[in-house]
Amino acid sequence: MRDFAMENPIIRAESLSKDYQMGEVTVHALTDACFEIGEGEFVVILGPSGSGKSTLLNIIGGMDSPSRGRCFTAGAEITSFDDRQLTEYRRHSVGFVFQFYNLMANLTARENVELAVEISKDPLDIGEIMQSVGLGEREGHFPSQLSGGEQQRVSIARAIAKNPRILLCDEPTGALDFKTGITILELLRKVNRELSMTVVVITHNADIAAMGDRVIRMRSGEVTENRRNESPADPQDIRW
Amino acid sequence: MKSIDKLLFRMIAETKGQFIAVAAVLAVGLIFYTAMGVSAINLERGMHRYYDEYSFADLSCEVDVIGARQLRALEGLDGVAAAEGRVTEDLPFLTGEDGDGRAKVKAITAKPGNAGVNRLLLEEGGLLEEGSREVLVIRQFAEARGIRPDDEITLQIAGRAVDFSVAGIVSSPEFVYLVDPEQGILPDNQNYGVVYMDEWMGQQILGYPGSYNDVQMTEEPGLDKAARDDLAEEIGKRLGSYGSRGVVKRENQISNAMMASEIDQLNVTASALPGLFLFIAALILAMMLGRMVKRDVLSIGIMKGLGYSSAQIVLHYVKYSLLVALAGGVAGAGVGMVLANLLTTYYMTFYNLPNLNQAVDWKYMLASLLMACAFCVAAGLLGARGVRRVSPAESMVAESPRPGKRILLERLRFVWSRLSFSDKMAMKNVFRNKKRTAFVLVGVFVTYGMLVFVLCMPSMMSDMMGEGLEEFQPMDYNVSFKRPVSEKALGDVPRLLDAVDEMEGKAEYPVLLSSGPREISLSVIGLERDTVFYNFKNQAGDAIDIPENGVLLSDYAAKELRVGAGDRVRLHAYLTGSEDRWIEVGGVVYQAMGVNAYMRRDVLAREYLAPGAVTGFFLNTDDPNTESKLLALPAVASVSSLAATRESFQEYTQIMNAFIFFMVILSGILGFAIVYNATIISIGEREREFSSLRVLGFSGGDIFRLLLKENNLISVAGFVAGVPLANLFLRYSSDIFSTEQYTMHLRAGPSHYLGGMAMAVFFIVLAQAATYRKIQKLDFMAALKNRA
Repeated sequence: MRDFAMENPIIRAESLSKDYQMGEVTVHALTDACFEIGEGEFVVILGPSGSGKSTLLNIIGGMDSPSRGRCFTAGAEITSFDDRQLTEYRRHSVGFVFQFYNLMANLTARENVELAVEISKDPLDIGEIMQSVGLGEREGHFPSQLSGGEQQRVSIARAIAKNPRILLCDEPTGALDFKTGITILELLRKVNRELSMTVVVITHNADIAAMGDRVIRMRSGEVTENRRNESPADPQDIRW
Repeated sequence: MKSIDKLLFRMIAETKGQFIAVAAVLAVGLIFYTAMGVSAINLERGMHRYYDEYSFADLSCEVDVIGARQLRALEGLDGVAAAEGRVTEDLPFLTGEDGDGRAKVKAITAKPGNAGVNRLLLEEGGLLEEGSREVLVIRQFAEARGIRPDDEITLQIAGRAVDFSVAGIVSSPEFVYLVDPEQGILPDNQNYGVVYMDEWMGQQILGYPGSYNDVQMTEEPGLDKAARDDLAEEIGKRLGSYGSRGVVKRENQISNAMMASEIDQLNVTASALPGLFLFIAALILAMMLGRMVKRDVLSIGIMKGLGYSSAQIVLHYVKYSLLVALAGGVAGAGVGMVLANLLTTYYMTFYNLPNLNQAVDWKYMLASLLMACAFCVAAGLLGARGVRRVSPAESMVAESPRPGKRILLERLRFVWSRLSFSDKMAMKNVFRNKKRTAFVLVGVFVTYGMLVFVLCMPSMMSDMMGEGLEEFQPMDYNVSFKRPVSEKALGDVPRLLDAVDEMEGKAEYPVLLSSGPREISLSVIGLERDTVFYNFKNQAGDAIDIPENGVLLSDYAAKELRVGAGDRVRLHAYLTGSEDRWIEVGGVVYQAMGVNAYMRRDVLAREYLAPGAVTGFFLNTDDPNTESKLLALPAVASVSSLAATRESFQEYTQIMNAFIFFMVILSGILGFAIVYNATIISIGEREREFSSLRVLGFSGGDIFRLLLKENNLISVAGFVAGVPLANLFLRYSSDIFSTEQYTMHLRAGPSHYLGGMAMAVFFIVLAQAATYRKIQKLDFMAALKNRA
């Protein structure tokens, strides 16, 4: 079992709530979410569609702001950040991996990664990153010339190349077949272990929870469970 | 190169058609700005240099006769630097195949040694030897007639053929634009020229021994306008007793006035037209970028997610517009500069200006680029302002469909139910995409307005010198005497000519008309009560009679004085020095060429000349030798032929047609760029809609026809809106381009509206055809798979 010091959690959510106005209806996407995540943890946030997990991830990533509550990362209250500070935060402290890869269609695999590297202070070596995600030979290809799995690898490479402390992944296997999904999970595990990055994966796939050091369950915008997983499974052993 | 810049260049490659189209509009604007602006500068500098170097007169005045002693007295006046006399006379030119007296020259005596005012620029051969029977021939006439030094030419003086040897070919600052002042505003170098004779010889031959009939003066440098006006008035008074025909200031001297008006027009064109094109280019660009931002919302979200700031992303789009500015700016300024040099070369020959500077004007090019950049950066910032609103989290979420609502037309069930399905779709799209509709609408009506304006040019020119002139002044000849004579003298004329159909005496008299602080110098022409040589009509086209006691004013004069029928104007007679009198304006006359006032001849003669006096006559005759026969009469000063004016107009229709073609192309580029960009934007925005239609079984052609239908609907509205715009354009141009030499009456008729529409339709169809390939290439499966 891995040991994570929680005296200084890397992420701390304090009563985070988010309401959306949809016409005349107010949607409570997130209600009083509280939890802590330790540095270097591999966290799986699990919940069905509409449970508020993407909203939570967006707030942690500085892409959205809560209606109420506070969120701290590495001790700083990101929910009090202004636009400029949030931009800086996204630029240097977090990396994102999306379900639909969201690559720039007009840039090659390598250029997509460079796009992130060019604005970061302490980036990793692009060549090494491309090799480590298994795309050394395909880095000159445009997204349209890559398979879904390869595109997600580029997306991961782009996120980690900035050398952030936190990697946030929104349904990273959602658009992939089982086999490719497993390889992506392996890659994320590798990033977590080898680069000591805190990885937060949100998914509706309960089987993936088995590999997390911590599992946070959500339903209808509320955190229903937050538990340590004493024996995280190897991605190769996961089935769905 | 940074990845974001690679993205930029790939974005340009992807939108190259739109990029080129908007850069072309920008370039056209800058071509106007650079070509016209630099030509105006070249022309103005060249003109002033020439005037200064060759001491072009500031004031001139024709008189009956004046001696050297009186001229010296003029030189004693404060403000007069030099006053020189010379003898001038219009003479039939007899040399050449058409030595039938049709051609004429203005003979002018020149000072020995080419000294003093209006010095001559020797182009070829040598100067005059004192006392010799030699002449110097003005370059324009010499070139048109192939006259070289040492040739012999024959002039008719006092009815006798007199031979002269050509000593040299010269140019003069006085005749950079050589035109017979009696004849109109277009040069006829084959039939009108100037020759210079030795002063002594000219005085003897032309009948002015020891005296002159023309005074040329220069002013002391540094006089302000008020001092110059006072000086002109003082000289006018002093020369009144010598039979002055009125003091002509340099700004009213015909050659200078024509060139000054050309420079003015160039400057007006250089400042007004580019603004329109740059504004439209900026509008297209802002629209394009706005739509790109909308389309790229996911990429913008990703970039923001990666840590790019809004400013960095806005800059990305502004760079796009800056590159458009550079492409359009360099092309526009470059082509404009080449065109400026071509125009300058053309002006050099047309205006006979020596050594016009043709250097590349870097300052102008830089100004063009800066202007392009300013417009485009503004457009970029405007277009990309949506970047700030993109939230990285929301951009990842699929956009919810736009709320649908019924358009107004749907409530008109009777109409709506009769429309086909595709008509309904087109209608809905036109009314729902208000911005795009407004954009195309602006494009169509600006293009249409410009085309109608351009197509009106031939009618306007014809008004001035073609059929319009013939209708206004249905006369063959306009003959002026050197000094007023009794109308009884006219009785000899029919005996001199072979066949005289109509003949009427006229009385012409220079006056200053004023109304409040506004004033205008012009000739009042006294006519018979029921004259057959003028057809006066007002703006509405209704015939106007000459009033019993008042005057008719040409519309330019009325506009300058801001008076109309029934108002009274103050009339100051230059020559008599009599008390000013108030006179009623009996009507305003539609007149394209020149500025005049008209009154009854008997009234004018009685008031300002002598009862029964005439200063010339109008004539309709088929006698082919009219000009030579009349110029042989010692009393005749000039004979102008309206037929010659019409002929020279024919020659200029070619130049005008080239100009019209050029303007049509430029207007077309504007229309093309707008419609093309709007259509491409529409295709980009509605990729999913079109893809769904393709999946449903619509062909590429069906979708193209749907787009055509939409654009055609907007075009029809554009044409309707274009009519008032064209009229506004015409009125504005008529106002700013009219001068004392000519008044532009730009009016559009059904043929102009229909012609403009046909041309606009052509460019719109062309623009739409260019987008057809884009629809055919639409990857509808990919578009449907795309999440956004």
